Amino acid sequence: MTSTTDTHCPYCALQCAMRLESRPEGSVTVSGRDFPTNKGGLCQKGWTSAALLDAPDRLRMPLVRDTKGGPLREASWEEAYARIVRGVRAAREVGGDDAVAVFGGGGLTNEKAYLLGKFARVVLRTRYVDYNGRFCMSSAAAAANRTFGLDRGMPFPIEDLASAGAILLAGSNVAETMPPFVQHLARARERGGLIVIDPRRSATASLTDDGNGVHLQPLPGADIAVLLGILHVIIASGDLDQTFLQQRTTGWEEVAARASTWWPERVERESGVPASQIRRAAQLLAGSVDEGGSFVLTGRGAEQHARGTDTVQAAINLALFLGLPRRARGGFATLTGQGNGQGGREHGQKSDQLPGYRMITDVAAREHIAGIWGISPQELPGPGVPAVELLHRLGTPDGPRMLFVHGSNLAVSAPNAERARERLTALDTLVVCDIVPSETTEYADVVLPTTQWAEEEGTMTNLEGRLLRRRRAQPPPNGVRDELQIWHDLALLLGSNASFSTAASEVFDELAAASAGGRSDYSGTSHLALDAAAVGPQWPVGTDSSSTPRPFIDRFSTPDGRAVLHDVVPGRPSDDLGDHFELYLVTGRLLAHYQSGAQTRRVAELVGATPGAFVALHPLTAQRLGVDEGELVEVTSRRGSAVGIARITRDLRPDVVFMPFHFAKLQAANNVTSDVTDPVSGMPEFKVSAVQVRAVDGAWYKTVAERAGVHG
Amino acid sequence: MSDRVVIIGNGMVGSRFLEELDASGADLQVTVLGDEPHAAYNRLLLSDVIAGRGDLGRLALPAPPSTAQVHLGTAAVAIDRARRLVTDAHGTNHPYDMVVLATGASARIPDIPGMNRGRDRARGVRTVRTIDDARGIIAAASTTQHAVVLGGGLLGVEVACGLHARGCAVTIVQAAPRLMAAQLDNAGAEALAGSLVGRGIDVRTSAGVASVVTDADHHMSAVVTGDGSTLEADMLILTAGITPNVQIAAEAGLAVDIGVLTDSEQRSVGDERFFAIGDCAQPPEGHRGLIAPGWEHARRAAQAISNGSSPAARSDGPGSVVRLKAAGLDAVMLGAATDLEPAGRRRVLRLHDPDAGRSVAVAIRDSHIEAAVCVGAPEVGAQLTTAFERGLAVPGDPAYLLLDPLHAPTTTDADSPTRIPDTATLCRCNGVTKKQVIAAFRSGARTLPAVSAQTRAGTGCGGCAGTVIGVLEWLVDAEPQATASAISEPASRREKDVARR
Repeated sequence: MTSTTDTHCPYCALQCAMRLESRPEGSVTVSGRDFPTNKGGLCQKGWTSAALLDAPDRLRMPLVRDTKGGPLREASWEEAYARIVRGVRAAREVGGDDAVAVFGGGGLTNEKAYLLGKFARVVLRTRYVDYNGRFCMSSAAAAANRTFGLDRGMPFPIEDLASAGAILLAGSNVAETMPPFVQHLARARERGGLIVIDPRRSATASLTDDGNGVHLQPLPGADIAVLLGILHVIIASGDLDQTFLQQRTTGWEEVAARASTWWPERVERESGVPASQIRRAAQLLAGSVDEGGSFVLTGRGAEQHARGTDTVQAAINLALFLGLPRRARGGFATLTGQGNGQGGREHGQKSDQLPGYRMITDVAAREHIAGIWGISPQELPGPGVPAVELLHRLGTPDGPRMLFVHGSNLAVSAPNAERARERLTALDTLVVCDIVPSETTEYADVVLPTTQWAEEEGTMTNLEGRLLRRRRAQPPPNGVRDELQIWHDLALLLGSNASFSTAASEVFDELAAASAGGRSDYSGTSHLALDAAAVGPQWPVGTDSSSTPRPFIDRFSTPDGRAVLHDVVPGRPSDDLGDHFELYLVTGRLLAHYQSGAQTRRVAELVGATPGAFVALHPLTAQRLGVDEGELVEVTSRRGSAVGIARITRDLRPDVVFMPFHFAKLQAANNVTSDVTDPVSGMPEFKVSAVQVRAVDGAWYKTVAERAGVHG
Repeated sequence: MSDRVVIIGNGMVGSRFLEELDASGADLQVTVLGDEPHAAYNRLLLSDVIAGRGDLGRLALPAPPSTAQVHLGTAAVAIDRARRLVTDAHGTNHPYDMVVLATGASARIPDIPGMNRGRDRARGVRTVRTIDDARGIIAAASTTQHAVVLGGGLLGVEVACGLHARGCAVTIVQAAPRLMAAQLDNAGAEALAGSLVGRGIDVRTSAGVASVVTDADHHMSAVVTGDGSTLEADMLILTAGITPNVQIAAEAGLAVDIGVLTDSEQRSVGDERFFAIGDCAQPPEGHRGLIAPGWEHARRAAQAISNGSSPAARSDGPGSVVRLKAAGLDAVMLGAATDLEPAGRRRVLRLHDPDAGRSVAVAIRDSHIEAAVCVGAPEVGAQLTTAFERGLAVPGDPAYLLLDPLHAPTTTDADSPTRIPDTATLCRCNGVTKKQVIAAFRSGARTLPAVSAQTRAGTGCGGCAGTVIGVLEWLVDAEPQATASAISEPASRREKDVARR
């Protein structure tokens, strides 16, 4: 008999609602389901997601490596666990509790994210825990926290966008990263009010064509200047909401004074965006505040910079000067990327945080969480270090000697990936928990096979801060274990008597209690309550169980209720042009692939859509470099190289080249990117690298590729 | 005790210097003497305000650090170098270890017969240096019939456009044979003048004001130009150059030429306790009278005074970029206009299109832009600017620099279903090509839902619905036989594809 399961997509933070139909013989069919976020729509990744369930090389047994450099072999769970326990003890003997580190992921359910933090701090007792959300959401989170006192990516329901007169997208390519989202742009486009800031004429930037809006195409890293220029025009034209600024914010005078020094013609010089376009964007935004509403949205293109927090701040400042957050229609939001990028950053995977978005340095927060976990506050480790620094410390004399990785493919997704791979190699023991072999499992000493989306229960928090239920449509393959089970088992084996429930609903209840009174409070809901609701609540969901769709309408979450603006100034990328590195590389996502590609490179239809890496460049640049369409080219930075097929397109500025980051080995864009990080958020500067580009000999590539085991 | 620094002048460059000094973290006692009663403001935007694109109340620059003592409405009147004291207009003495001269410049006042009666300037004659100047011009503009702008440089052109936007008739009188003579080549100036004339601004080059005609109350009523013609005018704005404010420095015995002479650290060549920055300074590379060099002066001086702990050079290069700010009028000048002549390895390319108000000239040496003038082509100007400032290599054929490759119109006529190539993706969300839609049609799909069921086209954002329906309508016309022979729809493709095993 066919069973149906209502759940959500395994990929991005839009978390499109889908229905799975499972047949007894094991086939699973996907269809879209009506929901505020996707309105029944799915992209190619969503439609084909069931193909992941029986990926031919799905991990079904633990693997262990007997000697460094030797092969992985199948092992029993008992043997794998024993190996892990030995590794933990050996590492601790040399370096104490901090000799073991944990790296999590923004794709893990809330229950897993919570329990992973608890496992790290209670069982391993290490301060070294962080996660790959540091690569994508930390700058937006830092800016929102210091301004609003709360980091809910979208502090309004997504449907508010439907009436918008103007929407500014800074560095977000939703048409490829979350296609069904494009529906929410329809009204703004009809009114000619879509504003896209992107160095590339991306699929999203193209949505401004035909009078639907304006595309500002700045140099990479010049977003702060562009945003200040727009703010300048808004202030100069008298379109600022002075009453709102005076009553509900602090720091705006300094920001206004700064904006006074960034008039559009100066911004043009810094950014390459014509002054007239800056003025046009300002008029569109200001003109729609009372006509359907104006919205300012950021994505990774604006955030993944060494000054990403300041870039988001510049976008927030713009929204505050227009008074957008006080309106039922209007506001600032960051578009969260990973599936549980929102929930994953709230419940204790971050090096400086405890569940409920509490700070680990806050005495009261430590007491509360220690109480929930049945330990004394003194036993709770202090803050660790952000992801990139954690990676840099791996295998160094004073750094961690053992690492657990859950839901992340660091060997491909870390910036300056060759350095990251070197650090993985330097570890005594690397444990990787995943559903399929990844480039990171190639470095692992122990690989644990785990469940995936349609095989597990739990909750996800989408880009609106809305709680969703992920539901099991079929049992996992034999030999595969849920992480909840794994941590439960390892806790016992490592001599901890802390409770590690294996039932997701019980873990949620514990998480809810831990989050009570915190900034992201889930205490008023449960799996049962979420199952009963057609559309889940947006947090905070306190004990009165009510949803909080628009938390900033009347006050912000800072101690005095006022938003705190910060003065930001433009600057150059950390890795700038010079020394024959004469082009900027920007990296980004493709529609058919997701993150490191570990999942999507296993779906035939998606591989068919984009089989491998490419390097997009402007025809004038291609002509100057002597590169032909379809030729193999190598992109080299001060750190490393990656190769791809040349795609010649006028969508790029002549001074910018583009590579997608979903591909591995020689094709990995992150071999090239920089691991310089934002001083506030710890986010690396993925989005700008100074590079050289040259055509390479195909035969040479073939040889190297075969040696490196690159296929396709 | 920390050193005492007295800054004379509270304008844009003085303000920037304070910011740089503050960022350096140097432990200093800072005193600022500003003659204007206003906190530091953005003087550069006065022409925007005159043009109605800005508000006098919103020109404030970043506030000084709280540790600095700022005295507004307090002009410095004398410097006693022997006793190391600066005396202000209120008679207060400010002891110093170092003095930073940021006194700026004043409008140059030409000696025109009839303009002055004793020490009184005729009413209606104005300059554009301060907030008070701008306020006066705006107040008078509403009743001004005809304004003459004497001096067709950057500021003159901006102010002329601003007054024109306020409804005044405007004549620009320019002594040189072309507008913006210091920055533009002949072709660029011709294009610019063409645009001004096109919008109704009278432009007279190689011309001057011979005298000012005033009435009994010393109100101006006309100007007589060099060729003897009389222009009735009730406003005359003097924008014919600036004079650096060096009086206090000269009286103190510091070395002064056009400006206060300094070394490359902005230190006075005669007294190492003195620095000069901005419009009053004359460093080894010369006096420029532009903001970007002034900011560079501020950085250098802050670095020198803080013993090199100042932050690295900001991005506002050495001041070789000049950009006109006037609504609908785009002109950008890179490098020196004198470099726009071929010489040695230098190659110069030009696009001359005066009828469209457009002129682009680019000088190239060793694959890099050495100088350029770009009038009436804003996108090209923006791209040239970034390429010039960042030292980007020019295209293999530099002629492409003269046109905008980013915003060139596309030639594909993809709106017509018949002309979309078969391989073109119609539904981006699901990667569905026109070919797949045709195949769906031929297997019986006649409606969008039917095509969606087979191909998933339209099941993502739905944005391609119109295009898919267009293709279907075209197919119904083009292939009626397919309609006749249509068989029942096969099992939906998504089920087949997604099904496991």
